[in-house]
Amino acid sequence: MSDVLLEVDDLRTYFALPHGELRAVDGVSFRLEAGRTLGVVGESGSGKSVLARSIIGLLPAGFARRPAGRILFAGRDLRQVPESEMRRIRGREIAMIFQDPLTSLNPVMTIGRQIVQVLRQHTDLSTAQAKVRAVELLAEVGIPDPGQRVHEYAHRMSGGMRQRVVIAIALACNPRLLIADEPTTALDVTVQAQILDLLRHLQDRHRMAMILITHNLGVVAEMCDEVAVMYAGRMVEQASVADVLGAPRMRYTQALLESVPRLDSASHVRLPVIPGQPPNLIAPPPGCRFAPRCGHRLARCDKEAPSETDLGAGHRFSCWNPVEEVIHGR
Amino acid sequence: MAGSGTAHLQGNALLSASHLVKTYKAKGGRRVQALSDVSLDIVRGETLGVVGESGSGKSTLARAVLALPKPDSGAVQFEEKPVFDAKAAALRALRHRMQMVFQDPLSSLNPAHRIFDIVEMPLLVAGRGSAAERRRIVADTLQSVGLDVDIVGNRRPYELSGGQCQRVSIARALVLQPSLLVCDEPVSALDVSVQAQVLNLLEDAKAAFSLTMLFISHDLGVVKGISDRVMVMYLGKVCEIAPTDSLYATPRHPYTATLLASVPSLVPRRREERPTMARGETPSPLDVPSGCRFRTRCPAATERCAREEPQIQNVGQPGHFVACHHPLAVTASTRLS
Ligand SMILES: Nc1ncnc2c1ncn2[C@@H]1O[C@H](COP(=O)(O)OP(=O)(O)OP(=O)(O)O)[C@@H](O)[C@H]1O
Ligand SMILES: Nc1ncnc2c1ncn2[C@@H]1O[C@H](COP(=O)(O)OP(=O)(O)OP(=O)(O)O)[C@@H](O)[C@H]1O
Ligand code: SF4
Ligand code: SF4
Ligand SMILES: [Mg+2]
Ligand SMILES: [Mg+2]
Repeated sequence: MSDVLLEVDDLRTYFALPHGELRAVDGVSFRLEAGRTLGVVGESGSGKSVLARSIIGLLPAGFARRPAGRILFAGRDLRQVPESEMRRIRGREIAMIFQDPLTSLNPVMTIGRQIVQVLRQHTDLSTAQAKVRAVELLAEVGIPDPGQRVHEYAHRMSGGMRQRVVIAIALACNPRLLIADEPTTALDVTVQAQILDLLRHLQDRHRMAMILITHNLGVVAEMCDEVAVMYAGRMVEQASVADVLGAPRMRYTQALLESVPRLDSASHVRLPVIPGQPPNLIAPPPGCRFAPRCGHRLARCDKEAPSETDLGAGHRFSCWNPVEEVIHGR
Repeated sequence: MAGSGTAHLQGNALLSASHLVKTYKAKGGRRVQALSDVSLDIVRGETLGVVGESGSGKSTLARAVLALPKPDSGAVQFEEKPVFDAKAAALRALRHRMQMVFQDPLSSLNPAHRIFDIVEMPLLVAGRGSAAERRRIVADTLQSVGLDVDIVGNRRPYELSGGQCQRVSIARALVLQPSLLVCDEPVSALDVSVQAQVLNLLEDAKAAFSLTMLFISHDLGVVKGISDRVMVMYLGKVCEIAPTDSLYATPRHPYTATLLASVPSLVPRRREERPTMARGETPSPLDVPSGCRFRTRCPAATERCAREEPQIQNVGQPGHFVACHHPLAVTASTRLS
């Protein structure tokens, strides 16, 4: 456990509204070791992007500038780091791929110039050296004909090629941590498979740690070592990918897994549903936040937030009436 | 023509479309053939799923069969009547029997209107019922999609969740009791938990209203769950059409096999070798490859594929049709996926 790169402890990121605080991230803790991939899954609005932005210190206006809690990255609390130093860390040590693929590239600058700009800002390379490196980076992310493509504008490229450019920029300075927020959601499934292959390959090569945010459990299965499930601002279950997908204990994780239509399930079979909708984050339910939708709710669930059970081996969950433990014959 | 032909038509269908062609004007006077000689039919009570990647022509197909607008050429028969030759009044009557549900629930509903008015509108346009009767029909239809008129009737779309908005769109489509429902990515904008609610609802509505469905989605899992037969499209052409189980268990077109192999499964398999994928990306629709349109990415392409467009043909299994010169053997395709 000495290889911990990132340790987040009781992180709380609230958004101030006229009629109260929206608790977008509300007491999240986890650790990530160098070279590993943590998947963060959860429904829309569960706080995945706000969590990512809290770590790199780029929260939308309206959020408290410094979230509460601790964010230890390579032993330093990022919440205490001055903004100028944070800017350096953001380019060189932690890179992020943002959820909205269109806003992350500049439409009026060639992709080559954008990469050169990043390299000049964060490394000692001269402009001439940075230009050479830009072509190398495009080649590394699988863009054909990189010497020509550096002169292209992003809007003339396909979604898949654009995402490759975004990845090239993120990796320009060999970060130790890459946070990828829904990096393939906007892509076709065959292109998604290619981009996932690319990310996996680059990660192995650069030995970087990755936080992969997605709502797609299949992507998690293919990419991640550990998985954290978020619900209404909380991490309700964390474990190895095999345990989360194969032996979930928290009832929301179980319900989420069951409601996914799979390629190997039969046609015209009723999907188990999760009734209702996620709660209002300004006035979340006092007990378990999933209680209003949970089919296994006990009287206690409405009143008391479930405490965390630690099963060891990194498997933790919060539920008063968990799924029975399965004896795995795997 | 690659992926053309009508060998797969079943006859005796509720909806039958043949040789649909739709071209859009693109920048610089160029043209995109979004639908290139596509034929399909759907028998009464059947759900035909359509899958394909972005730009394959799925939405264009949905609109073409409803004449919204009419395609450049081709014909559609619905309930034994030709749709494209119908006079305005007859077309309006036909349209009441064929309804559509769109992808984006919020933007397809007028934000200024109350939910009650949105669902009542088709009845007003069709001149159906008295005010009291309409009120009852709207209440019943909303109830059939799991919404209570007393709770949501006076609200506006932005005051509902995405899943609730999609229920309202479905209620609006059902209120005239159509026989055909065309759904274009009806659950793509929804979270999985809500997606399951809406998919179940569509199955219920299908039974309750004796619907026939054309169901479009890029999600192969979703399409598998709801369809009796599935059609796979690529760059405006049909690649493969088959009964659902046959298509998923034994894809015979290399593109279908690639699609299925690309879907991430829920079985953890990190750092495992993936099967060989189709290379590259879909070519520009402005400049489609000669012969078979998939040949630039196809691992099985030969010289013939560049010369000659494959015709849709039966490949042995009942109802299983493929447009490919070298269909995968049953065992090979199973291995690919
Ligand atoms: N700029 C903002 N202003 C106000 N509220 C916000 C803002 N950004 C996020 N929120 C709120 O914070 C909560 C968490 O949002 P977040 O974007 O982290 O969700 P998410 O899990 O990333 O969802 P998605 O899957 O849709 O991307 C939501 O309730 C959201 O409405
Ligand atoms: N109004 C339009 N004007 C010009 N080109 C169009 C128009 N609508 C569609 N196209 C083009 O026609 C082709 C087919 O588009 P269509 O929207 O039918 O695809 P689709 O399969 O529905 O894709 P998606 O999965 O992205 O919804 C694409 O190349 C698209 O760019
Ligand atoms: S704590 Fe109770 S309400 Fe929450 S998930 Fe567990 S059983 Fe359901
Ligand atoms: S084998 Fe030839 S005809 Fe068949 S899909 Fe490949 S390129 Fe097309
Ligand atoms: Mg997000
Ligand atoms: Mg479409």
